[in-house]
Amino acid sequence: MDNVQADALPKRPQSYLTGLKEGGRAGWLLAQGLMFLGAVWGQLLSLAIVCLIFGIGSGGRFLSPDNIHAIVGLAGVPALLCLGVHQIVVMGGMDLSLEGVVAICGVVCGLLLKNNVNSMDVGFWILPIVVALGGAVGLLSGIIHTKLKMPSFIATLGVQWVFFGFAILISGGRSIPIQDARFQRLVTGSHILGIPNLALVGVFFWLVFEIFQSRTKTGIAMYAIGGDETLARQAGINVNRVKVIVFAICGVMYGIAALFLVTRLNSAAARVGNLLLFPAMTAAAVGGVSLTGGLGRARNAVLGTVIISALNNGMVMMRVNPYLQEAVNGIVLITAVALTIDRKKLGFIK
Amino acid sequence: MPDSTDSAGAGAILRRVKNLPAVLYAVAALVFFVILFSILNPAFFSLFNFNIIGLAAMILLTAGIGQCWTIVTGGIDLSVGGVISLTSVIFIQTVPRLGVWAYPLCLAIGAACGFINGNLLTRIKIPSFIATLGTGGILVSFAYLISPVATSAPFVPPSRFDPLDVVNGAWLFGIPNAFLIGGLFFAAFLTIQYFTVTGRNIFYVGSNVRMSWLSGVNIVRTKNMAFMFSGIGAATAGLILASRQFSGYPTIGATYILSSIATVVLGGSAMTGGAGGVVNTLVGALLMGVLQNGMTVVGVDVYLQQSLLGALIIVCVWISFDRSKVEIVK
Repeated sequence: MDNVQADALPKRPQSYLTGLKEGGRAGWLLAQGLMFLGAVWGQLLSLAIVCLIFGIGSGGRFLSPDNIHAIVGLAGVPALLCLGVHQIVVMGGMDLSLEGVVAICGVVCGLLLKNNVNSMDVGFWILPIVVALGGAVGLLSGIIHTKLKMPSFIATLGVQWVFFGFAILISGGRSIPIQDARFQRLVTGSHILGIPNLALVGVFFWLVFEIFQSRTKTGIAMYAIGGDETLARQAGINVNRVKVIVFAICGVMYGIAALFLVTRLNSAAARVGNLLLFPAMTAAAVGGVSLTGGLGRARNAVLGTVIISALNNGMVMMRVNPYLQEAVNGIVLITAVALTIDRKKLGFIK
Repeated sequence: MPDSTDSAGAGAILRRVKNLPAVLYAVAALVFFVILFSILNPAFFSLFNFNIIGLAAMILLTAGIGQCWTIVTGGIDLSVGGVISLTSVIFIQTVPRLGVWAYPLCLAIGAACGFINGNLLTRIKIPSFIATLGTGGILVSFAYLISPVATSAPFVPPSRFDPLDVVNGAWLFGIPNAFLIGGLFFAAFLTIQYFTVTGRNIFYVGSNVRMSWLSGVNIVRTKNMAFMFSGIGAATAGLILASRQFSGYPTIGATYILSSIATVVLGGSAMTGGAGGVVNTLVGALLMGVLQNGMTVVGVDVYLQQSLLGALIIVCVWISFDRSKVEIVK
């Protein structure tokens, strides 16, 4: 009986079978790799151009192993932030609360780890605490956006000010020195094959997000919402639930990034989050995450961060005026958005 | 049946209250907060303090009026802070050499910044909040580049104070010139809003882009004008700030992104566009001035004030956001 049914089933495409038989596992991996390259070739090209220009301009110092080590290490925290924020951009929304959430999480880290302001010392329990706090703030943004039906950028702009104010309030406006050196060793070290630990954390979360986006119901629904929210709703997706979950995940990433930021400096202050939103948004746009939604995956966010990190490192190496560097980043942001935006979808631009 | 007529009457009153213009809510809130702060601290209710509130409100008014038209067209201008910083720095650099002519120069720079913002929106078609976020960052970094000292501010030498009298003096019956500038600015914008084609078009575009396009309104030009006026407003605010402090520095405008948006939404202009305007913004600016001054007078922590303002913006947008106009809130 079973045999008969198996015969009646349509056969798998022949080419797929032979490919799997002849190439085996390696062939499958190659195919996946080619697909991956096909999706991000533009970003890889721009990374190559950046490397080429600065490599020649700095006489090869830019491409020295030490410098690449530095670039990759410094890209770790922005990568976490960008991995968080790019998902909201994918849904067609916007999150401007980054600096406020990082500030509140950073200050709480400073106050709960061993410090010379109070007698708290929670040790490694800080990780679940900061994840919960970041997640809660993200949840709040999501609920304000969906339940009060406000545009996400103004809702998160409000949230940003509320929590930045709180962060300065509870820190008393000063820097809190952290006296637990274990974290700093862990964050600044490179224990495996000489790769910076922060880069490994970034790669770990990249893989987690790739799986989330391609294998889970919420992750797939996120792209459906970004593609066309009305259609997604008609297809039976609980849009508000997905949005709130994605905002919460985003908040979690901010929390973790804040922990790494303050432990790397061994000092926590509300201003730790200042000037982080801009690079994160620029990285998402440069990586090819379209502001109109529906396009761009975790790999785009990570690649975008590496490009921005390389660009900033290269400008420092070429001794570009630091204030001019900010202007260059602004121009890169506008150019990248102008190139990636899908104007057919916008109709009238507001 | 007295019961049913009663409830119908109550419903009618409720409906009538709901349909009142948003500006009346803002006026009611203004009166409420003035009374509240006066009770909490009698020192609040004095001519001296009202003078301080008025000056703060004039800066908010000039920055807010420009912002309000971009919001009325359905966009937003996050580069206000950058324009204020840049114009104040340029003003302080040029005023010893150019004298009074530094004022029109800085206004022109503000208008140029707004023109660039408008064209990024209308011709390159980047949504305004991301385009102005980018240009705001660029303008602040230009301010840093031009300013000789990044952290401590350069001052106008006392021998060159004369040109600053345009803002600091009191030429008419002892009324501070800053009030007169604010008043003139308000009158000019009110005239443009009600008696010029551009002013009317800004509201048509804000209430329904498609409809106004179909009826032949030049949308590109209208939006460019709205952003240009926003640049002029921000530049005026930067000039008043710089003149009153005898100094300009790149961080001077940072807080005005928040305050200008707060001024507009507190006055009752809706983020959805098409509703609100200059009069709303005047009330919003007075309300913001009273709130900021009052919270300080009764002793609210200055950083908690920022949190409260952020929360207030969320509440105001929540109330004034017109959901019948947008199907999907992104």
